Amino acid sequence: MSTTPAAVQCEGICKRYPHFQLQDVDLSFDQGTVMGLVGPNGAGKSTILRIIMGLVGPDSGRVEVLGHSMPTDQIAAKYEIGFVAEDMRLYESETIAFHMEFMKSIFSSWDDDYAATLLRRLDLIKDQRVRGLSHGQRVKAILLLALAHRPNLLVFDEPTTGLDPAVRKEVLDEMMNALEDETRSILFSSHNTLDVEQISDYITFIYAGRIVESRDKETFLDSWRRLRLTNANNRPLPELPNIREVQQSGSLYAVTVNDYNDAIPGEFICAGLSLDDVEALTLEEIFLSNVHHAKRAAREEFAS
Amino acid sequence: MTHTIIPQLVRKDLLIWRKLILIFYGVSLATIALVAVLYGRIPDRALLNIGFTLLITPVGTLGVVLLIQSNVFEKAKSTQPFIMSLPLTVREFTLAKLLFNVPVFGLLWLVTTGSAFGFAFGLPLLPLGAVPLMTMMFLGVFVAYLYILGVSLLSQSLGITILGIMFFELATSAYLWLAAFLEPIASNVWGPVPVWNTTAIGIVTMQVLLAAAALVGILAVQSKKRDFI
Amino acid sequence: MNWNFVFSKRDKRPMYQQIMEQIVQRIAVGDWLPNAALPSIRQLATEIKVSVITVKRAYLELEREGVIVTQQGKGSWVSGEMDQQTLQREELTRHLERAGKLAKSLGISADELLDLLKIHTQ
Repeated sequence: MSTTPAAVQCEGICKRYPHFQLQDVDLSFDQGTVMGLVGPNGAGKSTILRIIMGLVGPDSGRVEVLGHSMPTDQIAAKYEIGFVAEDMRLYESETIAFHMEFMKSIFSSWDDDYAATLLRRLDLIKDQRVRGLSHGQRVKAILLLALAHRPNLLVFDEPTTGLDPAVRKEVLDEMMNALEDETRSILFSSHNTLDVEQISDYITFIYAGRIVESRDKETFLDSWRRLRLTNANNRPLPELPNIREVQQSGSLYAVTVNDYNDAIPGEFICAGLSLDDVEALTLEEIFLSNVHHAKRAAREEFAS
Repeated sequence: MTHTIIPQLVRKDLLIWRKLILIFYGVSLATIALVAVLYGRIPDRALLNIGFTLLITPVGTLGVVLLIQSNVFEKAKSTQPFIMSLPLTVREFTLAKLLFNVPVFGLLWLVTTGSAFGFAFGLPLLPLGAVPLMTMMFLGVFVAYLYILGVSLLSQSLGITILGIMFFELATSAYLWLAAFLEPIASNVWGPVPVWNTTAIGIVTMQVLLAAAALVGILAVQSKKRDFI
Repeated sequence: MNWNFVFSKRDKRPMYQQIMEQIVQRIAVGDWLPNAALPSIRQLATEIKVSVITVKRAYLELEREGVIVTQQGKGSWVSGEMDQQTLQREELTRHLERAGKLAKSLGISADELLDLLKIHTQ
């Protein structure tokens, strides 16, 4: 093959469950990049990751991982994937070393030196039984097992959920360390928007089984602004499609806009408001605004 | 696929459950020894009843405990997402489970069955005419085991597996009871020679076919599963 | 190598601007000399645990400002013409740009702004 295949390429994935459905999910990103999935609990993040891993078969749509079509070529694909999921456990009665031996017997790419380095950096004792490990240590052990066979793609489902700040940082640091190799890619989901904002190159926002937005992080963050305005004469706000949320307190307004451009402040000034400040938003704020907007849209659709 | 990790998976389960397996093998050998010791010390009729229970209990328990631990708890204890993230398909997962469970149970079943036959017809406790019925009984244990194994793999649910155990145990008892009352079987049980008439051969053949069908059926149904985690 | 960029979680500016500031500071104090090679984007990203795309953006903006020079496939260097004074001028320009933008959004004319500036330079 002359061109490098995408890390992940999903087209039109649909999956129906009794109380939930994924609809027309398109998702793709290049090798060497980090894709972060954000969305509230139950939005479908885990289901998408499971479909990508070949663990769940979509009703329709096409999935390719590192050029392997899923789930048919899942064996070849999974040799190149390191998977970590929040609901994943190791064998309680066995030691970390037992699991390392097991992984080594499967992956010829297993790197003993890297495994030893990870043990040290993550403060793990390899002869300790899984039963005696704390939640943080369990996650770190699973992370070690996923990383030490040097996979090209890391698929992490909520890797930092329930971790204390120190362990969370260790996990994120190791994820970033893995990226030193520029062909390595990461796909991860999190409802911790700080994690996603810090290490993602691309962000996909999922709500109720649909993709709301999917683009590179800088553009994503740049396209949102909050305008702080004073509306002394109680003028009506300009009718802009970009307005996502308006919060008002007396004559003070905070207006959140999407698809921001430099002409927008002018629109408000022309409408007779005075502009106090233009602020960038954090991913957390964008997340909340998106959820708020999606809920309202769903209510309006339901009402009509 | 030239690369398969089935041997590694089987080895992993053997290592994890090695203590449990060794304990049950030990208990089985101990019960065999106990039956031998009891011979001549209690009436033959009593030994026949006690001996059968003593021999069959450890092997049956091992089979059931092992399939619950390795198949049902793989899902219940969430080690399944870990295993399924490895380079394998559901079909290979299932094959590995069969290749772990069936030989571990099968070997102990063979030893037990062999000892039972040795005691029954070697000492002897029973006339040779009982060979066909004994064959059906011990084959019945194996067939029931395979179906319970199938239920545990297909459902991976403790509740359904326990229902399966009850159902297939009752079904096996009922079936053997019926067989024992069939005239061509019943009339020869106390005879001096084993009589393999068409009824006896038919029943044994059917048991072997049922066993084969269980294995093929488990693989066929599992391979069709699209959601597996 | 360890570049040890320290960011403040309380800093509300976008991350790429904070990275730019840290690089400019290193050049301004003379730790990073003119014509010295900068770490590659990926190296710096994995070192400071910030996404590649954000570091790339910081480099692009710095290049646009003439602080660094990037050659496709070869890497980036601190600009040869870069000295402390130019950097400080750059810093001033940035502040003025912001002041200009803010003035415009507040409807303050250029003359008014100049008058305000005069008050502050006296």
